[in-house]
This record gives sequence, C-alpha cells and structure tokens, in this order.
Amino acid sequence: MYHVTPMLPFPVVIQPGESPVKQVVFAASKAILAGVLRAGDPFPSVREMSEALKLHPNTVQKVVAELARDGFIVVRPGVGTVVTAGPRAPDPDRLRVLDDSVEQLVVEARRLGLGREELVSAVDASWVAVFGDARRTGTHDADLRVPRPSRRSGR
Amino acid sequence: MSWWSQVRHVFTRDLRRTWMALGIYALMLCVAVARAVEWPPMMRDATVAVGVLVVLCAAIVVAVAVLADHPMRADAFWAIQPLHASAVATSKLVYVLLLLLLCGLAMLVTLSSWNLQPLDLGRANIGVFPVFALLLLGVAMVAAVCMDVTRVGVVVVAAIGIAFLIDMRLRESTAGTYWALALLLLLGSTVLFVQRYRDRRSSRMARGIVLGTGMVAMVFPVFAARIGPGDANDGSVPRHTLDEVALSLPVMAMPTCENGRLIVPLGVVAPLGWRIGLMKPSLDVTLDDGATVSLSAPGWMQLAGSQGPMLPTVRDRANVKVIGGDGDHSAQQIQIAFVVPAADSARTCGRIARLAMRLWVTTTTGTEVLRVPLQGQARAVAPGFRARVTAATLDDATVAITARVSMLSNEFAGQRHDLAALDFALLNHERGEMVRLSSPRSDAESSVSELPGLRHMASTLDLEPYISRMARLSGLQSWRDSAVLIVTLPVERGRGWRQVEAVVSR
Amino acid sequence: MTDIAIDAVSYRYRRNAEALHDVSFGAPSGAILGLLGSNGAGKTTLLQCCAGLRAPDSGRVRIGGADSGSRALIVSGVIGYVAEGVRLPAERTLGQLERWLAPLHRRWDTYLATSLRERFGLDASCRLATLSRGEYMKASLLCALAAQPRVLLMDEPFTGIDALSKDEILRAMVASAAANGTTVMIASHDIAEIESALSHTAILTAGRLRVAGALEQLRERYRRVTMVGDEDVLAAFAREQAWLEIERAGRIVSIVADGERTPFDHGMLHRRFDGADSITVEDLSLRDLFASVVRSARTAPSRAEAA
Repeated sequence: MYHVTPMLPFPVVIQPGESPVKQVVFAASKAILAGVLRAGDPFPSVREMSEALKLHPNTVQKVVAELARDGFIVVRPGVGTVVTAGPRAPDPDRLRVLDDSVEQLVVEARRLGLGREELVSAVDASWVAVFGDARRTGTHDADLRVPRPSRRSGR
Repeated sequence: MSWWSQVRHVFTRDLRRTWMALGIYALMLCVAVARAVEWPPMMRDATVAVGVLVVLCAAIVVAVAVLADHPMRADAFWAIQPLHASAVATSKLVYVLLLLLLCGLAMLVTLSSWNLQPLDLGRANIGVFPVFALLLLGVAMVAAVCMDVTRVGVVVVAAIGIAFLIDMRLRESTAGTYWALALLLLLGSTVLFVQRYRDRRSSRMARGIVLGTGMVAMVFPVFAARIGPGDANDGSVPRHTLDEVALSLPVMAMPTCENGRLIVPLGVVAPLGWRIGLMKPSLDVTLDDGATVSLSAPGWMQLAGSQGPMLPTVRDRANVKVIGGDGDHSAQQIQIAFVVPAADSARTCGRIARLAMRLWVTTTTGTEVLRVPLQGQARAVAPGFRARVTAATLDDATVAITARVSMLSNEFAGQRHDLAALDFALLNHERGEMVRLSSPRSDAESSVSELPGLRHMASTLDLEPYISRMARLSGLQSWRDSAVLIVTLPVERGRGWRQVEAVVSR
Repeated sequence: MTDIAIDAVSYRYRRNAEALHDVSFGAPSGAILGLLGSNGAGKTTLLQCCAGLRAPDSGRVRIGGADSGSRALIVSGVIGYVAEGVRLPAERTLGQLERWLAPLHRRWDTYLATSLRERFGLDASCRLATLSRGEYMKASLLCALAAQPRVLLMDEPFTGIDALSKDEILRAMVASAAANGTTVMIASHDIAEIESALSHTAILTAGRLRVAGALEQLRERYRRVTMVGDEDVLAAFAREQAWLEIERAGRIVSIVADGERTPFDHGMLHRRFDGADSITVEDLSLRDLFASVVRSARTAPSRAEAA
C-alpha cells in the first residue's frame, strides 16, 4: 500500500522564524475568507495537518483552537472538523493582537514620509487584492462569501 | 520477550548467520575423527595437523560470534534493542556450548573406537570438556575486550603459541590434574564474560582483568590431564609389592678379589614376569678385626632381557610352559663387581667376616593389554589400545612381525606410558611356548592430538624375537597358525632401598 | 507519562575535559525537543546518558519517573534510539532484519515498517552489506520508528539523507507524536528544517546548557531589536537592555534581547528611547537564536548563562 503525503486544501508555506501558529492561522483564514474553502467543506484533521506541514501536533492544536475560537471552523467529535460560514463579531482581543503590527506599520509609514490617508488607501488596496472587491468597511456578517477574484463564474 | 526467549532468539540468529562456518568446523571434526580412528586407512598418513586446525576453527567461530554483538563497542546494535545484556551474553555461551557438544560428539565416536568402557567413556569426555571449554571461553573473553578481528586474532595466536611452547616443555614430565583450578577458572571466566555485557564501561582495569583471565584460560588446558583409559588392572594380575622381590647373598665361602675388584654374587627371586631394576649398589664389608670398609660398584644393571627368563605373565599361566624359570617365580643370579681401592686391597681381601649390601630396587610388572592373531589384517581393540598385524613372517630362519599399534596417551599408576614401553611376545597355545619380541628403535612413535585434550600415539613397529631365544625354538612355521601376538604394558609397582646381609663362613 | 527529566548530569571522558557539566532540563510528555549544539558540544553524550547507554558521572535522567540507567528503559521497550554510528547486525537483507526485530518489540507495527520502507525508497530484499551511508541510516531509522517506542531519541538522524527522505522522516516523526504521543528528543544540525516540528529546544555549548524551554516561550523571550539613532541613544540602549548578543555598525545597533531579564515591548521601547530614529522588534528563527547563543558563549561565557 503506497503512502500518500496529504496535501492540504489551502496553500501554506511555513517560514522559519515567525510563529508557525500565526502563519498557519493566517493562511487558513485567508483561504476561508477568499473562498478557497467554503462553508461545509471538511477541514484537515490535526494529524493530517501535522504530517503535511511537519508541525508538532500541539502546534496544530493551537491553530485549530484559534480558528475555532474565531469562528472559521468547528470541531465536531466523531464527525470531524468542518469549515463554517465565517468569523463571528469581532471581539476586542483580536484587535489588540494586531496592535503590534499596526503600530509597526504606522511608524514605518511615518518614517518613510507617508501621510495618514496614503496609508489608509494602501491598506485598502491590499485588502482588495487579497479578498476581492468587498465593501470598504468589511462586513462582519455571516454571509461574507466573497467571490473568488478569478475568471470563473461565481457560484 | 521473556529472558529465555531472548537467548533463543539471538542464538538462532547466530546459527542462521554462521551455518557455513559451523559446517566447516563440523567437517574438520569429521576429518579429525577419521584420522584418530585410522579409517579410512589413508587418513593416517596425512601430515596436516588437524587438531590445531580444529581448535583454530572453533576459536575463529567464537570470536566472530562475540564480535558480532560486542559487549563494549559503542556502535553495538544489540545495546539499543530491548534485549537483556545477560541474555545476549548467555546466548554466546550457548553457542560456545554447541561447539563443545559437537566436539564431544566427535570425541565420543573417536573414543569408542578404542573400546573404552562406558564409564571410562564418560570420564574421558568429562576430562575434555573443561579443557576445550576453557580454551573457547578464553577466546570469547579476548574477543569481548578487543574491538576488532585482527586484534583478537593476534592475541589468540600468541596464546596458542605460548600454550604450544609450554606443552613441548611439559612432554617430558608428568602432567597433573588441576580440576579445582580448572573449574574455578571456568566459573570465573563465565562470570567475567557475562559481566562485560552488563557493565559496558571500559575501564582499563576491567579490560586488563578480562584480557588476562582470557589468556590464562586459553593457556591453562595445556596443564590439564591427559585422558586415557582407567587402570587396566582387572584383578587377574596379582597385586605384588616390592617386598615380593627376594634378594639373597648366597655367599658361603670367602669372596675373591681379582684385579682390584670384589665380585659378589647376588640372588634375585621375583614373581614371574616382573622386571627388576637394581641401582646404586653399595657394599659395607666388616673385617674380622671389626673394621668396616665401604665399597661401591659402577653402573646400573637391569636384569630383564640380558639374562634370565623374565617373561610377561599370561592368563592361563598354569597351562603354559614358560621358557626358563619354574612355577610362579623366576630366580636369577647375578654378579656385581665392587671396586676395591689399591690401598685397601691387601687389608680387605681374604679377611672379610661379614657383608652388607644396599641396593635401590625398582619393580615393573606387565599387564596384558591385547592379543592379536597373526593371520591377515587381524585387529584387536582393548580399552585405550589398538593393534593390527600388518605382516607376519615365520620360518626357520626369520621371525618378523609388523604391527600397527596405537594407544591413548595415559597415566597408569602415576606414570606416563608410551609405545616404547610396550612389551610384545608370541604365544603358541598348542605348544605352550612363549617367546619375547623386541622392536628396533628406528621407528619412532608419533604422538598426535587430533581433538582438544585427546592425545594418542600411533606407530608401526617391526618386531623380532630376542636372538638368544632362537636357539630354543623349533618348528617355527607351525607357529603361524596357532600363535598370537601379546601386547603387554609394564607398570611400575614399587621402588625402594633394600638391604641384604650375609656372614662369611671360613 | 513519558516526560524526560535530565537532572544535573555530568560526564567526563577519560582524561579529557568534561563532556557534560551539570546539565538539567526537561521535556513534557509528547514534546519534540531539538537538542542543538556545535560539534563536540556534548549532544551525543547526553543522548547516550538519556538512553542509558552511558552512565553519567553524576546526576541522572528520568523518563516517566523511571531512571533510565543501565539500559533499563531500552530493555523495557520505552526508549528507541537512533544514531549515526550504530552498526546494523549482519543479516543478509532488510526484510530479514525486520522479521528478526518484530518479536522483540511489543508494539512493532509491520504495516508501518513496510510503509516507511517504501517511503524511504528501500526494498525488503536490500542487502544490508551493500547499502550506502544514507540508506543505512534510513534502515536504522525505519527499525526504530516501526518499533513505536514511547520515547524516541535521535542523534543526527539526517546525516547523509537526501531531502525527500528527510521530509519523510520528519513526517513520520510528527505522525508518531500525533498518533501515539511519542516524546522525541532529536539532535540535529539541520535547525531550519526541523524548527517547525519542534515544540521544545535545548541548546548546549561546550557541555553546558545555555538555553532550554518551549519554543513558543523562547520566541517571546528572545527577540532581535534593531535601533537606528545617535551615539548617546545607542549607548543608553546597549547599557540598559539585557542582551544575548550585540552588534554595532555606524548608527545601527542590533541586539538579541532577553525579554525575561529586562522586559521589552515596542511601545515601551519607543517611549524610553524616543530619540532613536527607528526601533524594530523582530522574531528570531531558531537557527538565529542558536547562532547567537553559540557566539555569545564563545566570547563571553558568563554572560551567556541561562537565567
């Protein structure tokens, strides 16, 4: 019987240095938000992800816990892990996590001589590039299903 | 896996891996056995030292087995497997045991060709076991301490060389038995060997102890007892002691001096078939005025052969007319010449009142070992002896018999015997006559050791009667059909000083 | 249940300097701990002490509470050990070796052995005598992994292994951890490749422990802080902040900061050293952390002592 290395249904490459939890959570959320993974799709198990990414299973557990807490996936005992409709309402903790990165971004922009509006439009542009043409404020509704920015007709 | 299962697991794997080497070892044992039993007949002429090859082969096999699962090497595979160290060590010991058992089997086959009694068979094998076991354990210990094959090889060859040299020195002397020491060494070696596996530290002292003990174990078997049949004294030969030899000075008249020598006749009466040796005679002469003079005689006289009819005893003594001698005893008279110094000559001769002679006497009896008919290739086997008459010529002019004799090197009553000590005689039942044969020393006996601890001698002897007997025999041709070659082994019975006195009557 | 506790282990080779000096650290059950160190730092000696193949001069190693001395835990099947130098027994083929090993181990998984063998590109009829060095290593690993030990100790398992097989080994390792909760201690020079699989690490230099702990925590604790600014700001910074390693060039100072000694966070640093042009705080890869620890140990041993 030939063993097949599981491939994950979303693209992710682990770079050394940065926390792998952050990297995988980022990649998975990005994939779910971008529509690569849809609601109801099976999400890989801890074992599958551990083996595919050569990550310690505890690390993968943390990833799953975070994604579940953010509402991206739900773990059903006996059935498996499943992608859900979308993130919940934002809670203040999550924004605080971004504090560091935002601060760094702001300081860096300032250093380079960018103005506030310029920074905001840069952020906006990046948002669109990743997630497609969503409304500027970004919805928190359950039906944030953005059609893939591709040639294919949306479903 | 239980401890015993582990032992079996490692042992069976070793068997599986080394079946070819074991096969070669078994083949060598077969060759050794064939040579020892002298069948097929061509085997005995091969000059290769099979015995040494057997030992070397076994040593190599043991060394390889131990090195494959080395107790001390850091890269040993067994150490990272769930195997008890003692189990691995034990499986190596079982492997050694297998080699010993194969050798024991070969020994059994060989010894049975010498017609040993079952008890002697057992005794002989038990005698060999510690010998070979020590050798192989020694090799195992050296292998446990030395990390690779070449070093083991060097040490083993050195030890065998030392053993060989010691053995050559010991050949002249009798080897004693050191059973207690051998068993102690065996036990100690086993413990040290197993401990090597359990305690994998390689401190210099530990390694030195193991290496030293290993080499001692390898060399020790040289001192071990030679094996052989038990004392063939089966009761038919009466147990005589030295006192049976009666010495007498049948001096009635004044002894005469001639040319500065005092000739004293001595009478010797001994049981038939005894060989008497007389040494270091000294004479104390008491003169008629009370003074004493001490005289000595040069040389050593052995009575057998040259004078008197000392012949080996035979079973049916009563029916045999032994040439010379009467009844149960044989009487001889010899003359001993004592040197009288010129100064004392005038004073001594003619004025002797009393004589006291002192002699060192050794007695040897013969025990019959074998009887071989003369026809064709007749063979006979006795415990520890084999003889075969290969050629017999009997006519009025010649008596010539060629016999192939081999015997297990043995010790009877504390003496070591070799083929040179054997006595041969021809017995003619019909005529009731017996004649003694001698063999010229040209054909040297060869001592061979085919299997560890088993030493035997074999030689082809050409036998002729003592020339002086020729005159008394008649009709030799008729001997051919009814004569039997008797092989006798002389055994020393006793030795000691004896004194004999006489009063001179005028 | 299978946590590793190394307690004040010291070892000295005959007449040589100490190979290990008072090393103490631990790994919880199910951890994958990377043992890092330069050549000769004492990793092999430590792993051998953990396995019970070598008795430490002082201190002891306990696994799951049980002392591992005198191969006790190897014999009971708790520990599996793989090292570069081990010589496979002289069986003819790999298949024969597997068949011989299977009854020895309680949890030997034949299916796993076959699967690993295929993934490594080996064949059951491979003759052991003709294997290349890398294939030899793969065969040893196969035997260790198929036995499914509770604790796996690996000493430079990637020596001579091609990249694809390295992948397979790492996958098998984490799969084992995921499936059975195996605790793994792996000594390797391929830090970048194994970093993601590790949950813990311990860094040795010259027989001494410098840094040990869970990777998550170490990532929080050691960060690279780079400051651009004038001389006086930089000097103040270098004086006050606890660092593992410091580099200066022109108007830039870059330190590997120890957040446990003197805490840092971005906002606090900005407020404190507001004269600086810029302050960046970056995560360190394990490889960089290792390099910093080793370099600092060489230049200022006392400074590099683990807190």
